Amino acid sequence: MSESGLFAREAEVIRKAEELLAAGLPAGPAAEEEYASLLADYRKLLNQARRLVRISDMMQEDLNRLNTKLADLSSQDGLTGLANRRRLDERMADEWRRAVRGGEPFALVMIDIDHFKRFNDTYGHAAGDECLKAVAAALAATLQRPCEFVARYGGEEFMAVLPETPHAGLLVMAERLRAAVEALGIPHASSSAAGHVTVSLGAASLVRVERGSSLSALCQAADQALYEAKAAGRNRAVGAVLDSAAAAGGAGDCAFG
Amino acid sequence: MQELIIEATKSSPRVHFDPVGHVLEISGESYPENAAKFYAPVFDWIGQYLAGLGEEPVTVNLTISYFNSSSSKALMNLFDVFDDACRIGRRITVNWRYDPENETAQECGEEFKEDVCGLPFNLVACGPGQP
Repeated sequence: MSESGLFAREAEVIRKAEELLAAGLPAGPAAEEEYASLLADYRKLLNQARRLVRISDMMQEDLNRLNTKLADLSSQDGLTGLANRRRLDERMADEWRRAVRGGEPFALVMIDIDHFKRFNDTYGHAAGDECLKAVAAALAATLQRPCEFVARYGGEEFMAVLPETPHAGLLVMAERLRAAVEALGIPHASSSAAGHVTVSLGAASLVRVERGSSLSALCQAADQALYEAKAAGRNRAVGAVLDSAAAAGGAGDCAFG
Repeated sequence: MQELIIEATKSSPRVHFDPVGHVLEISGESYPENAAKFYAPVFDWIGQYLAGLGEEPVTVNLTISYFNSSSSKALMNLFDVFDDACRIGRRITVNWRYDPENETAQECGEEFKEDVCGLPFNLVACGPGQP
């Protein structure tokens, strides 16, 4: 059966119709009967075509749903449900491009659970996983605007992306994130920072994103600020603000928290 | 007449036609690269089988959870062949078997059922993995 074999009946209807046409207009009862039968066949096949299209649409709809589900799964961190690193990179790049167009401020916060390795060693990996989930949920719940999001960056590291956030707002936000984790009150006996689970945060903002501004310079500034927060005793946020020519370096590091 | 057995592949269903027990079964997923080519031996076999068939009741069990557009056209054609056979006195029953959690498989079965007139066509809900 060739490809046209699937449509043999349709082909037959057309062949007969062409024959009729070649013979001139239907004349006499025999020709009329043939014409009526052709028409009936055509109606049936048209009905079938409609059904096939509906069936095809249903199958496609299933595939679309599955596709969306897979896309969600492949962009989510399995443990915490936050955006994973892959999704973070995509979405951060999107938000960055938007900020470039609007010449808006842009801010990042790197967040690291203090002495997480010790937590695991003390309470076990299952408790460690629970701790990661709780911290992730607390961080996510603190962000309010739809353009803001937090992702799992690595093991016990998270990153919050805060578009359109000027520096003053960023410092308030970083402090809220810190306080939200502290408020969980998860015991952490082997931490040097406190008797409970805490986070250190490195926040960096760019006053105005322009063409030529460097996202990686902003990431580095956040990373450096996180390092400073840890060096200053953990359970605190350190903020750095970069001028619009971010690649040219920042100034005015300020500690708080 | 010999039975027809085509083993399933990733993209084509298992076909098992038994001309002695008069049970014809197709099960699996059907999205072969060339549906016309895949179903050609199926239609050839059925043509010969119906030519020699008397009044023995025939059961056609179809359990096809996913199929592409060409395969659905092949199924339409298959039901037309059975429908025509019923009109001249053959006793054929189609069971369209679907997993009740697969709404699409059920709705597709309904479309097929509505397209035939003389062919008994049952929609049978059955769990996955059930015989």
